[in-house]
Amino acid sequence: MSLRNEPSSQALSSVVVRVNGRDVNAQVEPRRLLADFLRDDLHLHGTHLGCEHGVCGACTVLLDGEPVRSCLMLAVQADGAEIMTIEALASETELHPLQEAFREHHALQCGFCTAGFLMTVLHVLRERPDIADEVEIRDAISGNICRCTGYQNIVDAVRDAAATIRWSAAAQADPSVEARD
Amino acid sequence: MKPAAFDYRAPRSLDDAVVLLNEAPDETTLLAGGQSLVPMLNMRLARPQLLIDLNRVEDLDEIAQLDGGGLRLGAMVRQRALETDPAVGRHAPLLPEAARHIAHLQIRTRGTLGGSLAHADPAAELPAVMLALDALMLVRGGGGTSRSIQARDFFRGALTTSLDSGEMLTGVEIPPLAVGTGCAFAEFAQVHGAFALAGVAAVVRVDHDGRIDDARIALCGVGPVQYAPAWLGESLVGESPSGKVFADAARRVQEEANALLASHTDRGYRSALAGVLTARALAAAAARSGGGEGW
Amino acid sequence: MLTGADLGPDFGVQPCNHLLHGQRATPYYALARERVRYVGEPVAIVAAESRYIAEDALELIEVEYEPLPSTGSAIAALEPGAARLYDEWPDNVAGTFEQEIGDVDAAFAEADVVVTETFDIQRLFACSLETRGVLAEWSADRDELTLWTSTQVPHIVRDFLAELLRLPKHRVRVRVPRVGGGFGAKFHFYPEEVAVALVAGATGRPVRWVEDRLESFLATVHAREQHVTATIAATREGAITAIAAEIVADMGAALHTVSYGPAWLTSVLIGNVYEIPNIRARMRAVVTNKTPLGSYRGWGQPQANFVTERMVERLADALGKDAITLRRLNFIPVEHFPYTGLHHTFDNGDYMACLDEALVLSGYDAWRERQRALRSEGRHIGIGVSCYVENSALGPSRKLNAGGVQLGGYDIAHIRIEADGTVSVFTGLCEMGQGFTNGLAQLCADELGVRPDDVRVVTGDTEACPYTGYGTGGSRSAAVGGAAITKAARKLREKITTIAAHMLEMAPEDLEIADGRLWPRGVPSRQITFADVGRAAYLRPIDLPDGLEPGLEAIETFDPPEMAWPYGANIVVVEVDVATGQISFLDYTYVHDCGTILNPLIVEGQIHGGVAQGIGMALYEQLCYDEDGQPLFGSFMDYILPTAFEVPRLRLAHQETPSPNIPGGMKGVGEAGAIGSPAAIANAVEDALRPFGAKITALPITPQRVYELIAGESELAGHAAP
Repeated sequence: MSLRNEPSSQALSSVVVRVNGRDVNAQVEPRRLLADFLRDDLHLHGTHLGCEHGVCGACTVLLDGEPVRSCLMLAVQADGAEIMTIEALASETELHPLQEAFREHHALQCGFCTAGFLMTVLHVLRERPDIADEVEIRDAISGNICRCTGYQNIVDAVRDAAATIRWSAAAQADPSVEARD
Repeated sequence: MKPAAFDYRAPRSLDDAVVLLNEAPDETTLLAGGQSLVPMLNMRLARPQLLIDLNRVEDLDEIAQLDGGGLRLGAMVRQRALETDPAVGRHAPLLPEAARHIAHLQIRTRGTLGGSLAHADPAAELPAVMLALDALMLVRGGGGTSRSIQARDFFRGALTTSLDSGEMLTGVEIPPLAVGTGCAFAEFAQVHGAFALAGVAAVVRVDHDGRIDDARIALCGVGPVQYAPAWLGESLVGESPSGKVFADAARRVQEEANALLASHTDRGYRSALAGVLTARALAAAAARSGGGEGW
Repeated sequence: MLTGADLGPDFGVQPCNHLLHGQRATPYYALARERVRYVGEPVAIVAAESRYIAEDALELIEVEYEPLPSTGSAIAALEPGAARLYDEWPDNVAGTFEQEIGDVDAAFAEADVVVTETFDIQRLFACSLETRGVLAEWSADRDELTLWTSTQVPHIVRDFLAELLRLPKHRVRVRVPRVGGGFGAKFHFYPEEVAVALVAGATGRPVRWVEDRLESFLATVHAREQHVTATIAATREGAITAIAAEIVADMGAALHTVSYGPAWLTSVLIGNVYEIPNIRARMRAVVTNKTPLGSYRGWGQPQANFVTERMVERLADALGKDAITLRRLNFIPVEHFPYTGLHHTFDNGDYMACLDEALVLSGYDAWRERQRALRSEGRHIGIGVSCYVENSALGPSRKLNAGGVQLGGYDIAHIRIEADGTVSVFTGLCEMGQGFTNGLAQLCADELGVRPDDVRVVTGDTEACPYTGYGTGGSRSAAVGGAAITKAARKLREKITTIAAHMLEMAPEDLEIADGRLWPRGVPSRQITFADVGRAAYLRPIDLPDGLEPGLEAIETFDPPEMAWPYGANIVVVEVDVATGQISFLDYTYVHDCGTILNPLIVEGQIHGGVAQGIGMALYEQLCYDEDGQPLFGSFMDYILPTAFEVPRLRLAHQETPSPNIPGGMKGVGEAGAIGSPAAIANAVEDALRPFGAKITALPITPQRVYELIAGESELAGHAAP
C-alpha cells in the first residue's frame, strides 16, 4: 500500500521567530505544530499538550501579545512573530506576581494546565487590570480546562494578582502610595 | 495526533493565492485561522497535498465602510476583531454579539470570518449571521474571475458551499441595516464555549406604527444545514410585535427544526430549544428596533 | 513494528492484582493476539524517529479483521444468545458478588412501604489533563531495564513488567516523572508499558510513547458504568428496615488490573451512613465490547452513594416525609461506633453534627423560603442534600488479602538524615498533584523537630523508594503513608536525642528539640544542631555513646489495623432553566470530617477538585457506544468537561474527629469530593423540577434529559445514547 502522490515531505520551510526575547532561525517541516516546535526543537517544555484539538488550553502561548492555542498553529505560521512562553514569566531571581499568587492560593495541583492559564491570565490582566468580579474572571479563564483544582483557587489567585499588580504599578508611579499588606 | 505531510505556500498577494489554488484545486486546502482546519489536519481527517496559508496575503483583512452605509469585511478579519472593532459594532451589531459565543478568546484571536464561512459548519454562528444580514459573499476564481453570491445561495449544507473548485472567498459585503433595525443573537451551549446546541440570529425592524416591516432569522446547530426560514418575513411583516406572534413563529421553527434533525436522538430537545431561542431572539431584536420601544 | 505475533506463544497475559469472587480470566495481551474485543485494544506498535513519522507509518499497516458478533450493552450481553466475548464461558459474566445481612426478603414482606427504582449510571473516565506516557531504556548490557511511566503505582508496574518479561525484579527499575493528574486511571498496569519495553529491547534504543488525546479516550480505562435496581423498605414512621441493590457492572472487554473491584465496593457500601438491619447487594460484572473499566476517584463509592441517597429521597416522597428528617432518623448513631454494617466496620462518625452544620452554613431554611417565592415567579430552583461516608486508609493487609487483593495495605517509610542534618524521606507513594508530599514533609518535620523546608520527599523510583503495599490510591497517602513516616521519624528522633544527650552530657529527657537544633531545657545557648549529630553519626562515631551504631536511618512499616471512614454532607442549590435545560449552581456547601488535617490548603484543594469531577459526572461527562460496541465519541468535541464558568464556589467547613485507628488521627480525603456530589446535584435538580413530577434515574443530567423529564417522555428511563 502506498500513499497517493506523496507530497515532498522533505521540503522544509524557514521560520524566523523571536521567542522569549531570543531570535530563532529554524528550518521546519510545514506540518510541524507550533507546540512541538517550542517543546521539542527549542526545548521549552513548559507549554503542554493536553488535547491537540484546541479545547483544553494547556498549550496557550502569547503570539504578538495575544493568547493562541499553539496546538492549532503550524510553526511556519509564526514566522516573523514574537512569542512568549511560560519560561519567560519569572525573572532570573523572582516569580512573577501571577505565579506567586497561584502558589499562595494553591491554584495548581498537578500543574499540567498551569502554564496555559498563566499565559491566558497575563493577557487578561494586561487588557483588564481592574478585573475583580467573580463572573468576569471565570468567563475570562473559561477557555482553559483544569481537572484538579475545581477552579476556585485559580479565581482567587487571579483576583489577588490583579490587585498586586495594580498596587505595584501605582507604587511605582507614586512612591507615597501605601503598600498593600 | 500529527498532520500528514503537505506542501506549504504562503503567498503575499491575492492573485498569487488564486493562481496557486488553481494549480490542483482538489488537492489544495486554504488555511485561514486554522481553528477548524488544524484539528482536522491533526486528526488526519484533512489531508491536502498543498496548504495555502492566507495569513500573509495583503489586504485580505480590511474592514471598510461602503458608500450607502454597508460594510465590507475581508475574509481574513479575525473573529476577535468582529467582537471589538467599532465600525463593525456600529454597522453590524449582530456580529459582535454572535462572535462572543464563538468558542473562547484564544480561538477568536486566530479564527477568521472567511474561514468560518467557507468551512460552513452548520453549528457555526457566523454563517447564520450572514444569512440573517442577507450578506453578499465575494468570490475570486481562477483566470481572474470574480463573482458575488448571496448568503442564501452560498451555504449548501453541512461543510458545503457553492464555491467551485478553484474559487475562494475573499470577503463579504453586509448591506446597510435600515434605520431602526434591531438585531439579536441567542445561543445555548452546554458549557461555556462549546458548540451551539442551537443558535439564532434575528433581525427585526419595527416601524413607527409599531408594526414589523422586516424580519429575518437564521439558525445554527439545528441539523445538517444552515437554516434560514424564508417564510418568516412574510409571516411577521404587518404584525405588531407580541409574545404570541413570536411564539407562533417559534413553533413553526421548532417543527421545521425537528424535521431537519431527523437522524438525531436529541431532536425533540434541540428543536424545542431552537423554538425557545427563536422567540427570545425575535423579541430582543424587536425591542432594540427603533419603533419597537416599550416592547 | 511489533504485533501480538512477536510476543511469542508463551508470553503472559496482562495480569490483575485483584482476584475476586468467581472472577473469570479475561486474557488480553500487551499486543492483541488473534482476537480483539474493543475499539482501542492495542494491535501493533510502530517506532520511528518522530511521532509524525510513526503516524505516517501507521497508515501503511493493514489489519484484516473478521467481524464477530459484538455487544455494546451490559444488559444486552446478559440476554441468552447474546454475542459472547469469551468462547469458553457460558455467558458474559466475569464475576459475581453477593452479600447480605439480616433477612432482606422478610423485611420487604413486612414493611409498610417498599419502593423500587432503577438507575443508569454512565460510563465516563478520569481524563487527567496529561495523558499517559512511557519511556523504556535498556542498559548497555541489556540486563537492566529502566521504564519511565506516568503512573500512580511504580512498584506494581515494576513487578508485573518483570514477570511478563521474565526478568528478575531487581533488574527492572520504574521511575515516575512529574505526573499531570492520575485520579485512579494511572493506578493500572497497561499494555503499552510492556509493548514500549519490547520495542526498546528490539531496537536497542530508548523508546518513548506519549499517548495522544484521541488514544486516551479509547485506551485508558473507563469508569463508573453500572445499572442498578434498588429497593428500599421502611416503617411508616420512617425507620428504614431494608435496602437491596441488584448491580450490573459494565466492565468492558476485560478485567483490567483491579478486576471488578470498584463494582464490589459499590456493593458493600449500599446503605451508606444509615443503620439498616437488612441489606443485600448482588452484583454481576459483565463483559461487553468496550474499553475495560477501571479505577477512578471514588472507586465505586459514588455509585453506592448515588443509589442510596436517591432511594432515601424516593422513600421520603412515598412516606410524605421530609428527606432530611428521614436521614436524621436513620443515621448510625454516634454511640453505635465502631459500627459493622453489610461488610465493613466504620470507626467513628457524627453524621448528625455534620449535616447540622451544613444546614446552618448553607442557610437551608432561607433557601426553602426563597424557593417558594421564586416558584411563584416561574423560576425553578432546587435544593439537594447528600450525606456520604467514605472508605480510606486502605487498608489492613490481611483483610485485603482475604478479600482477594494480591497487594498489601501497608506502607513502608524510609527516612535518612544526612551527614549535614538535612532529611530525606523515601516513600513508594506517588505525587500526581494531590500534594501529599507536603503533608508527609510536614509530618516528618514535626516528629523529628526540623523545619519542613529541610525535609525532601523522594517518590517515584523503585530503586530508591520502598514498597507501598497498595499504591497511591484508596485515600491512604496521608493516613497510612503518614503513619509510617511518623513511626520512622519517632525512632530517629529517639536516636538523635540519645546522641545529642551524649554529646551534651545530659539526659535525653532534659533536651528540647526544634528547627533542627537540640538544647538542654532552659539553656538554649548550649545548642547543637542536627548537622553536629549527623557528623557524629556518619563521620565521627567516636563521638557516639558506647554500643550505639553509626548512621541515622530508619525504615518502618505501618499496616493499618483498620481502615478509616471520613464522612460529610453536600448541600447544593441549583436553578434549572426549563426553557433550555440549563442547570446552574446558586450555592454549594460542603461540611466534612476527615480526621486530623495536616494541611488545610491541600485538603480544600482535594475537595474542590473532587466536587468538580462530581459535577462532571452529574451533568456533563459521558462515553456512549452503540449497540455493537462502536464508540460514539472521539474527542473533547463530544466529551464535555466543566469549565470555570460551570463549577461553583464551595462553602467549605471542616470538622476534625481523629481516627481512632490511625496514629496521628488522619483519615483520607482525596476521593471525598467526588463521592457525595452527584447525588446531591441530582437531588437538587429533581427538587427544582418537582412541579413537573420529574424523576431522575440516569446520569448525566444533560439539558436534553431535563427537557425530556419536563416533557414527560419516558424514552430516557432506560439507557439510551445521548
